[in-house]
Amino acid sequence: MPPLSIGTYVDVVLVSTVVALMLYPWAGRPAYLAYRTPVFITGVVFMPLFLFIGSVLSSNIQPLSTQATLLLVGLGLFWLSAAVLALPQAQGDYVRGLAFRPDLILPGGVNLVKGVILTGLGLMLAFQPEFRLPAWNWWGFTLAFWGIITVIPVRGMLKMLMRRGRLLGEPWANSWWAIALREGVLFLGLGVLMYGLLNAFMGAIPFTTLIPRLWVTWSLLGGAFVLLVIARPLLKAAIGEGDERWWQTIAKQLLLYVSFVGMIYGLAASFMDRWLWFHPDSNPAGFAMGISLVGAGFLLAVPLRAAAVRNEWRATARIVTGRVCDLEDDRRREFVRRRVAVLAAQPESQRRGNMRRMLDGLVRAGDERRLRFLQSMVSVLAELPAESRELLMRSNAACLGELPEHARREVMKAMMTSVSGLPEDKRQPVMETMAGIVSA
Amino acid sequence: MSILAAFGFDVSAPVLVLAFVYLAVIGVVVTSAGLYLAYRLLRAF
Repeated sequence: MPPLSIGTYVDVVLVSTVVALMLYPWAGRPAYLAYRTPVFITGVVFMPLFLFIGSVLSSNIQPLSTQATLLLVGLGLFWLSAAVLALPQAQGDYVRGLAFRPDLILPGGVNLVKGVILTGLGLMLAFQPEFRLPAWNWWGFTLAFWGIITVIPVRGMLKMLMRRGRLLGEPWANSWWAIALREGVLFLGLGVLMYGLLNAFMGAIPFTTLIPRLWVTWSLLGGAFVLLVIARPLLKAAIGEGDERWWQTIAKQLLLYVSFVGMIYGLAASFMDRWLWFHPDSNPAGFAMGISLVGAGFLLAVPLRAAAVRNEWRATARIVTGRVCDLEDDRRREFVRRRVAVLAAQPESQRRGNMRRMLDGLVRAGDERRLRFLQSMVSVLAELPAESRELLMRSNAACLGELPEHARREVMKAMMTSVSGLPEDKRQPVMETMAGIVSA
Repeated sequence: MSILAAFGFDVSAPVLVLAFVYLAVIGVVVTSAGLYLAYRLLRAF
């Protein structure tokens, strides 16, 4: 075995810190599985596979076929532990006092990062004229780690701030420039991640021997920048998160995929100082293994990530509802007032989708919290112009009709209690609107 | 054998020092950005 470098220990500490932070019971142990679901735990607990993969690549295991098999086993688990995060069970429930919610940003982020890594590694294997596994440098992974932190938590927290803004109808949150800023962070993060991994897989310490030479391939990086930081934000601003159709979510991921494949090729060719192409004739095994990894990366980064991002948004809307229930009266009423204004301005199909998620949050919130939220909502509805009130209450009635009977009864009970608690002059208009909906 | 070589480094010391300065700066910048956003997020919700 070659001697371990300090980088190995640094990487073990970095990866362990992340896993510990993700899995620590921040809101206590009794309700642990409610906020850190088994699916989420599965996605996190396999993160040390980075270290396993690094150890296999930096070892001198003989024969080469054994080393390749070990690598494939590691990569298989690496893929699976990201794929499960696309399940809706990756996100937990709202838990009072818990502000640290990586389950709302980690699934989509992990699918993207692992998709990039598998695609990059696959291309490197397929581009070799003869079969050999990549090398490994632990400091290369240290740099890649900061790229991962930029792409997942840093960009993820920006995303959460923007999601909050969109829920409250703040115009900046859906503006092109704000999305472009976030995608700029993604571009930088991906650049750091890819340069770090390129160093790791070529066995070099970052910023020492591996410097760009073939500058013409940087045009691909420029192209990726245009797609990622200019075109994609335009598409996102036009569609709006949470309101898109399936094919639109897939289209956004495809655009991202094309961009990062361009980045990978541009960086790799520039730093390796030559144009890269496949060699299926002289290296059939490397080509087959590489293309399989590229396919696995594509599955993670496009269809599975589309599902993960969708689930994140739905869970955010649900969990924010729970959080709003626990706010002080004034803040809760202000939040509900702004949210109701956003809902009233949306087309019917979008409004129903958003109300469905809000009701989902209310059903899970429990009696007391549900009542608090609905009291605020009913009092806001009572002050709206009659047309807006009718619009909202009709959508609400339609969504209530979709709930299972027990849940519907519980929500209706809280709603009627809230209406009965209104002062006479406010109760009247709400009752009239209700009567109009029922008689229709 | 120099200390650098003992740890598996075969790059000249100044280049290596600069490389680790870059690595540390990137780490500090990313961590600071993360902590700042976490603070903003806590205040927002």
